[in-house]
Amino acid sequence: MKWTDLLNLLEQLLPILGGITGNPALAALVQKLVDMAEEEIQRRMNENPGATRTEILEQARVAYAEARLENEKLKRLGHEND
Amino acid sequence: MRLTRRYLAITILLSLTCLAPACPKQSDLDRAAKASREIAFDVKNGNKLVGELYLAGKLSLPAKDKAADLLGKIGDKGEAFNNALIELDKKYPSGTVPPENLQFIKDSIGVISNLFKELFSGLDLFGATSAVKDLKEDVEALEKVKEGLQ
Repeated sequence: MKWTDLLNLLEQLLPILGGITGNPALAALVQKLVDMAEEEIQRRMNENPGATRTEILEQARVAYAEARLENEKLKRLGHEND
Repeated sequence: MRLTRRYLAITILLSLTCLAPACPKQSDLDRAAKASREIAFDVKNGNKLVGELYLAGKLSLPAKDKAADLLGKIGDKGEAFNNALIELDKKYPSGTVPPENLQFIKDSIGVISNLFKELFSGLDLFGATSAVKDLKEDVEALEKVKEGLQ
């Protein structure tokens, strides 16, 4: 299944999830997943296919640094009042 | 519904389609670099995803913390792997590395792959059995990169 097929399927499911299940929180979660998937697709589409190995490793280095910050934020989640 | 696990794993699978041995003119170091980049984005997105699942009430706090610790470990291993690749890139501009370095690359990918599997198995959201099976298949794609390295 292509990314775009998955997104189309998710977008079709959204109103069903929010309606039948009566669970707007679940629909909101699915919406966030769709948004994240769209962002990931955009990133891949914008990737330079001619990027050198050095450039790719630099992109990875930056992404690891961002991942570290996201991880720190994740670890703090739920422990704000500790 | 296996959306969350599918999302987390599919980025690994799709991103590795051009890392199989069939892709022409890619050295071992080229494939390893691309794998490292995709691992980095998967870890970054994984952290965001787990946060969203927790905020939506789909993960307990202990489960979230466990996933966060695992993602932290994967990130650390991935970063160390990437730093090693940066050094190898400088040392071997052709992209072909000696056997001992190739083994290091394979071992690193193996360790990271196993940590991802551990992470997926812990995200027991909608009934683990079939979902973990799907994830296992997707993470095996990462291991195919390892096998494809000479």
